[in-house]
Amino acid sequence: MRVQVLNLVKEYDGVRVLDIEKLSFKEGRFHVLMGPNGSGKSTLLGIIAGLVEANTGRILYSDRQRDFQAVRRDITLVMQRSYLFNTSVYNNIISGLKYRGMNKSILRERALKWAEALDLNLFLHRNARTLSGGERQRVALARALVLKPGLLLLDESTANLDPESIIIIEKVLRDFLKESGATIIFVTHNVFQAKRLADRAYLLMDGRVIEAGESKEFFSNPDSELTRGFLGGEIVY
Amino acid sequence: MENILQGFRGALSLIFSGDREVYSIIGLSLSVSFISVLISMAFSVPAGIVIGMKEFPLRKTVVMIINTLMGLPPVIAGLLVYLFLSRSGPLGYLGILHTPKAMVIAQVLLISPIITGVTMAAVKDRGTLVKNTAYTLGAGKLQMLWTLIREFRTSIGSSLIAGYGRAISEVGAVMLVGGNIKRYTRVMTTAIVLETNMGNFDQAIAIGIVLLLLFFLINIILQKVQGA
Repeated sequence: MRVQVLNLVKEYDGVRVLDIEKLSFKEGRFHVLMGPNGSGKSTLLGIIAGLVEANTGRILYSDRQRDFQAVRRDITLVMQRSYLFNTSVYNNIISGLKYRGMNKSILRERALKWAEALDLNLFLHRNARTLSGGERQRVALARALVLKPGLLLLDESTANLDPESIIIIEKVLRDFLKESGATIIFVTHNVFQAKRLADRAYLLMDGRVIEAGESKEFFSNPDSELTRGFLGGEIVY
Repeated sequence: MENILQGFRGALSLIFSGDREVYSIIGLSLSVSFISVLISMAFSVPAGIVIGMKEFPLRKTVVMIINTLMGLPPVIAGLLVYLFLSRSGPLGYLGILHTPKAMVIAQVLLISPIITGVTMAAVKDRGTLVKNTAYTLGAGKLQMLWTLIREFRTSIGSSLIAGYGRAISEVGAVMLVGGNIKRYTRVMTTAIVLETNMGNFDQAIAIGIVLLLLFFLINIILQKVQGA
């Protein structure tokens, strides 16, 4: 799903936290948003996911420029500390499918596919609340992927996780992108992870897009002094 | 002391002999309180969720009123319902004063703030997170509400049990609006008051024992629910 952000402004208590004139995310690509704390990354993701209302501006979804309600069920968001429902891992994974009234055989087939990909097979009948941080994030990702979203938003979804979980999640995300042709927008602080995953990268600071570019160019030859500073670790976040 | 022991012996005999009078009082108490909880639950739980999670003008005032009403003296609830349902009151034409319906209304008035308040406090901190999670997974409005109820089932369950305990144990309101009419509006609490006044200690003690056992049972259920 193609996403276009146009003249977007968001203010909290009169303070402008987001001010983006134009930004677009093409389908079938892995977009990585980077930036220091408070740069507006999560707010932007929240607005695209329909959780936060912008003061002005528009988000257009798909080339047919449909509005949010028309595509709501084709978008999903995985947060940094995902909330898991107080039930089994399996029930968590199928929760979004149940909201859509899918039949049991589809639920099971999709749940088992992603549970296996994310190495959750052994936990399926355990209460999701008893899992470790890495396992919980894998459940949250499985819960999102079973929906086959056209737009997958990930807000620092691998922050503070164990290396094993990060490796599994990154592999699954790449496989999902290849298989589905969806659009992924991934927020991270980790420059190394951004380099590994991005087809296209973006740097946000103080609510503005400082630089956006193809991964190779962005990381090897950035235009902006601020991007160079950020990638070189000179800007502390 | 002999009087008390005799009262207990008489009470046990009434309970185990299946005394019709005693059991009709118990049955009415249980059913009136159960219906009150059901009615209150239908609007107090959604109200608690909305008030707990939504920002709106005068929210703090609404919360303060609910918290105040959580300690509403039963006689005040009874008095209010009485004034509305009495023949000269605005709802007097309904003709339901001194009926079980009036008792249900008084109990609903009494327990709704408790159920609303406890639900509200439960969803305050994590409610938005649950709602956002359900929303990003594609839940509709009713599905979100159901998800919230399911996620906070322990606290909501506790509030319902606490409401039931409050309803079945109160005496002032049901005495005022029910009138304590034999085999019609006489419940356990009002019966205890009446039988004690009349000197029928065995009957009063018998009902008292059942009420106490019932509370014991309610507490066991409450502990189970909270420990779930």
